[in-house]
Amino acid sequence: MSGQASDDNAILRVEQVSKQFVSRSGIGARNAPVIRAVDNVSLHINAGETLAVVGESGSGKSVTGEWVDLARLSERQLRQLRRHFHMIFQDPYSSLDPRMTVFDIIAEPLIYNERVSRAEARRRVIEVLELVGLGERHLNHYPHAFSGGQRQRIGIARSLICKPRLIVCDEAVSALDVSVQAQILNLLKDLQQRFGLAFMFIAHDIAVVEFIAHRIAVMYVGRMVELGETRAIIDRPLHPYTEALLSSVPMTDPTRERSGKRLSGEIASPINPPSGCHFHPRCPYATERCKAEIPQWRELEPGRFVACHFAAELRLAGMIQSHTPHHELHK
Amino acid sequence: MTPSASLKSTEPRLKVEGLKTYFFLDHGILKAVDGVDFHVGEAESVGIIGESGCGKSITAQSMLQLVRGRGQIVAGHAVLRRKQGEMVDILSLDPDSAEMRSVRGDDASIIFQEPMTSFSPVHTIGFQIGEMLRLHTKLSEAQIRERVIAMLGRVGISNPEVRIDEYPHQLSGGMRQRAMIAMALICHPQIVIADEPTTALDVTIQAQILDLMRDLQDELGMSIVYITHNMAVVAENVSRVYVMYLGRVVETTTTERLFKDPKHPYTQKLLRSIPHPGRPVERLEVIEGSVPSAVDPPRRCGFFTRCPSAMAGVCDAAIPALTKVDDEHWARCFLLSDEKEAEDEWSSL
Repeated sequence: MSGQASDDNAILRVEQVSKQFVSRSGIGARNAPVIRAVDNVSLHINAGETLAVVGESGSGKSVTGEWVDLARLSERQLRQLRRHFHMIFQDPYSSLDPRMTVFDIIAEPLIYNERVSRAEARRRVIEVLELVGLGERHLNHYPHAFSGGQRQRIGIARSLICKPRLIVCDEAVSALDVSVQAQILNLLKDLQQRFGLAFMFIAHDIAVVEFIAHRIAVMYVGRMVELGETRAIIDRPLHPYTEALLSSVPMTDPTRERSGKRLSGEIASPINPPSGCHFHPRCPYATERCKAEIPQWRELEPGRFVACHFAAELRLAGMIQSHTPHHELHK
Repeated sequence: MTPSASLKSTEPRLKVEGLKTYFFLDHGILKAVDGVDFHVGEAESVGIIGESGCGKSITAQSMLQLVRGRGQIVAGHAVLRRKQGEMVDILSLDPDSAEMRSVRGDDASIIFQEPMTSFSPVHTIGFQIGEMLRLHTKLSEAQIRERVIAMLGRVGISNPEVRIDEYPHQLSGGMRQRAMIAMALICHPQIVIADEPTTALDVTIQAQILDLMRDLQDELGMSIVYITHNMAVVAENVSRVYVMYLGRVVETTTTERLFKDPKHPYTQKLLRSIPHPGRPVERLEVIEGSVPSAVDPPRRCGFFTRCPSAMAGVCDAAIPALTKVDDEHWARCFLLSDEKEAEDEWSSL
């Protein structure tokens, strides 16, 4: 697509036209595996960048849902892909096999993907454990011996072991307590700066997304509705769904006026989505045209993509700024 | 509305004192709730906030004597003013007595976090919501059906006359949570305990549900105790907050004061460790370590192991008492007062 395709830094590209994920590993794109993508989605992620994907459950934000279509690839394609992409899951309790030691959990992808000796595997496992704030002493422990935050660190170590360029974090911090969440978010930022990692950060917590993401993709019922730089999206959304999402975010400032704008109705079913623009039944600005015609995904401003017929005319509200200056809370 | 506008010190609807709920495990005693006091006034909303393991959910369940298994309420009073005005200490009632059952549902009800597991899958939602009325009133089946349909409509479920005959699995998560609220409110309780009522929901649905609770509160005049880990939900919905850590309330004040001028090191660190929407920062402050185990905890300040201001020989020698900072602010920290928590027969366990 215009603007996006020329970006040479992209390490993941999802093409709308072909409805395929094309993965590029390292230099050149030989033997790039191709994955079916969701409806009308088109994006790329650059090295060292965090792209957040936000939306309601069932919005297809679970690009993961499609991502798990990885399972439909051939074994060989999958192996190639796994070496470059890794996932960190939401639930640090159920995503680690309780019968495996920390060493086995972390070394598994390494042994599966690369032929390394046990001594080499051990060296590399210790290396990634130290990166995530754990150490050699944890090698032979089982998951139950760890707290939620430590388990998430083990999950991150596992995702790092094959030196991936992109890590998909699917609600990676949402099950964690807030004090632990801060530790993990800082860790992810550190790792990114150190290794130029790219993150695809699937999340519903806008405050977390605002903290970690460089760009945000907003999804609604399987389609991407808006994409742009984090600040631009939050301060000046172009799609009515984004506006509604931002106005629903509860604020940590008790003196702030509560926003009056509320979405009514439930998110539409992806099995039988509404005609035209999927958002039209809940959209306060919808017209007859929105019922009939699927909005084009277009680049309204450089780097700002949106799928709304009226994006150029609407003046939408961003997230309400707090009255309390932030140094008051982050002294 | 600013939360403090509704701060009036009328006679409390519910007053809890010295609540202790312990779990007697094979490897020790888990002191899940270890001396909690709180109160909620008429038509007031208060929040109990804390991270997992702080005892907030067990506090909620203790209120309605729903603690089961190895858990036991070992001490405390929870005095509730019932609909007719008589005072009853809920914790003195037999959990399975007729009076306790009539308190549950009729005077006080609870909204759980997970609507999926709160409904039975084999009965329609209409039947389950109506069951409350069958238990607590003498209404006829036709009247019950009418009341349930009206309540389903009230909580924002479209086509209530159709939905009433649907099963829980036929509803979306947001709709199930609404149905759960309808069940909690059908008998017009005086007090609702909402345990993470919106945690499992998407942000736009969460906002709708919280708006709905606020509207219903204005209309029905009920008191609400929000149990949550979400600072923003507290900031937007309650007038006073109790911060819990390791089985105790460590700080309590008005919502505005809590955010503006927290006194306890834990509250201070907690507020700085969360990303505040609209106020982005480069790095978050971190509370080192994790919450210690509540099994056979040593008699010291629960936050001692993680506190940046911990004083050796002081904070690990006794448990600080919850002491008054001023008329609307209390905190449990030796930096603020030397006063120690009194010991009782459970302290040495």
